[in-house]
Amino acid sequence: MTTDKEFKPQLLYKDESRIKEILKQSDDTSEKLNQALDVATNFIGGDLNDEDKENILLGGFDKAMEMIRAKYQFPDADDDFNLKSMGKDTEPVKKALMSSKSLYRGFEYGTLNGKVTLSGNGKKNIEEGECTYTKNEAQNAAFDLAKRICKNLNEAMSSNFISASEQTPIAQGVKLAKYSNKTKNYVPNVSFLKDIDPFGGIRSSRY
Amino acid sequence: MDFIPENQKQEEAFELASQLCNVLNEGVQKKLLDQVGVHNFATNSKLINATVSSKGVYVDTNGISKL
Repeated sequence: MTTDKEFKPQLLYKDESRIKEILKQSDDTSEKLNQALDVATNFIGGDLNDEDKENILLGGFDKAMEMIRAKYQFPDADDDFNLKSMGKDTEPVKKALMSSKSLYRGFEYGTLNGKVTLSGNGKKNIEEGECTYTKNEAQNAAFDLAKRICKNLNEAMSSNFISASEQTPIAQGVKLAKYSNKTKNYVPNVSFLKDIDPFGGIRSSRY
Repeated sequence: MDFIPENQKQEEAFELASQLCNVLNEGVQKKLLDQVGVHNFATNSKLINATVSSKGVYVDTNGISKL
């Protein structure tokens, strides 16, 4: 029988505003990519499936040219001749697909029903990337204690046993908790907690 | 001598102060809290107190009795 307890990381903090910001960036980028696909589809002509569209975004202008060449009426003539005969201008599609590969690779996108969208896994990874977890048992113990201290301090504050002028001395004295001006209560001090080493030590500069 | 609260406010303060002392002393004992920091906090608080000779922080019954 083993007595070793398996370490279970606890969620210290989830940066919701940063997640919102990244998801907004992802939406803006997918919109730009979808606009680029519209330009490319118009250039190539005909129906393009999801795989074609993904290949265009990854292959850029060269891929779009490869696809339109398959539709040339005069395969022995050069690009200029064929494109002119089809009334196609390469500049808009060249510009639209200029950074499509890096933009498409920037987030975990997928092309579904003709549109570039962030995959479920991509969204999950963005959220996970902005979560801070405990890394050792000492942090778990400190986090548990911090939550209890915050509960007591918040009760004391709501009963007016702690005044506004006492908030700073408390924060200075009890580093595990901090007063949040946003939520107007005491919350575990994540930036302090995440620096606790496996032996419970804390960097001396923190005191 | 045990402290006997004389009103509801004192009773509430005493209970909160006891809980606070428990968690703070536990934190110092487990070396999760800085003893000096907790001591400084206690001396500034209305609910709890500490002296150089005291083993940890304790309920400030003198302060609470004035509530």
